[in-house]
Amino acid sequence: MKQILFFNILMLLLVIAAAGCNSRNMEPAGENVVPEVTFIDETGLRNLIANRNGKILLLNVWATWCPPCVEEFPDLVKLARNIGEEKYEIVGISVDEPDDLNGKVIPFLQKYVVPFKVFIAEIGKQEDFINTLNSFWNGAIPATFIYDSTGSQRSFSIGTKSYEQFIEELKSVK
Amino acid sequence: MKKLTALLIIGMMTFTNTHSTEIKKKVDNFTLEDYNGIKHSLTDYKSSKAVVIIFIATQCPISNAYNERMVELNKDYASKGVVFIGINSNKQESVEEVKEHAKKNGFLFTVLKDYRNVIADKFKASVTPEVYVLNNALEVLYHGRIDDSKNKDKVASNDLRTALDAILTGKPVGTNETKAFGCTIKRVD
Repeated sequence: MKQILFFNILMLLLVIAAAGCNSRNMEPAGENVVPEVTFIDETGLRNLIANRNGKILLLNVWATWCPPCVEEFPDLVKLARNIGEEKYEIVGISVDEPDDLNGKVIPFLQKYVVPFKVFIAEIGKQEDFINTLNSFWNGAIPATFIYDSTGSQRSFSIGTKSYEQFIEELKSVK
Repeated sequence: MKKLTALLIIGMMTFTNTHSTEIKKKVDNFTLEDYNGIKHSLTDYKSSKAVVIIFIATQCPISNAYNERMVELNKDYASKGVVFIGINSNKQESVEEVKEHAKKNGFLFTVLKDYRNVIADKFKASVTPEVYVLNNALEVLYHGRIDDSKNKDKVASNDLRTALDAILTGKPVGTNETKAFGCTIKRVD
């Protein structure tokens, strides 16, 4: 009986040890990390742009239904990992339907372990949201807006960008 | 990309202005082939009450969300003298794909292939779906979205229908510029 008890305790310790090693050594799989996504309206958007804390802001508007946005997203993730948080802030704003948050947006973000803040636009009128960012923008996405450290918009463009293009645009802003 | 940014900012202003009771933007005539290789020019439709140009895509889910609505619009307004024309300017969508897409979705209106996005550049069109309603003088009477929601059940403002109804009754179009989220037209480099 003592032998059986000793064997069981030994096995239990081995299982606990193995589990502990796994949790320490494994890179967290994207699927297991639930990203935080916050709703944002026009007022929140204005506040986000205004509260710069000395940082340059790159704001990317995207959606899971938009193929060029999906194509661009890995480069945005790479940018956020490499650009340096002390000087730059990267923010993604999804214009997916709020109803698609759990079904589409979060599963999409889980593929990447996204290292920047992501919001989902809580839109009254699409035009108000669009015009808050730039009155010359007609809503085509992906769209990228860059603000300097005072919150002034320095550039706005639509279409897929590469990592190098993101870097070039950000570095041109002082 | 810098060129595109500049286009966006300057583009809104580069249509020729004509002076009538109000200043309207005007587009130039163009000729494009449909997916069967037949040529179409805007001037072919001078006798129509209005020409609705819609920049569309085969792969953009937002544009595709409007396929059924475009079919319905054409059905409702063709008999009233309105001509609908779809234009596909996306570089990655072939003429064969455009043809297949039109057949599959029951498009009874003409769909033109705009190779190298020449006409999209002339119109300064940047998104799908994007609508231009023209009169027979090729003046832009309405520019923007079909309606205000990709989800048909959530539509609150049928902007294109409202514009067409105004045009057909000889009234000025109240809101002649609208915006909505959509896919960027993928242009040649």
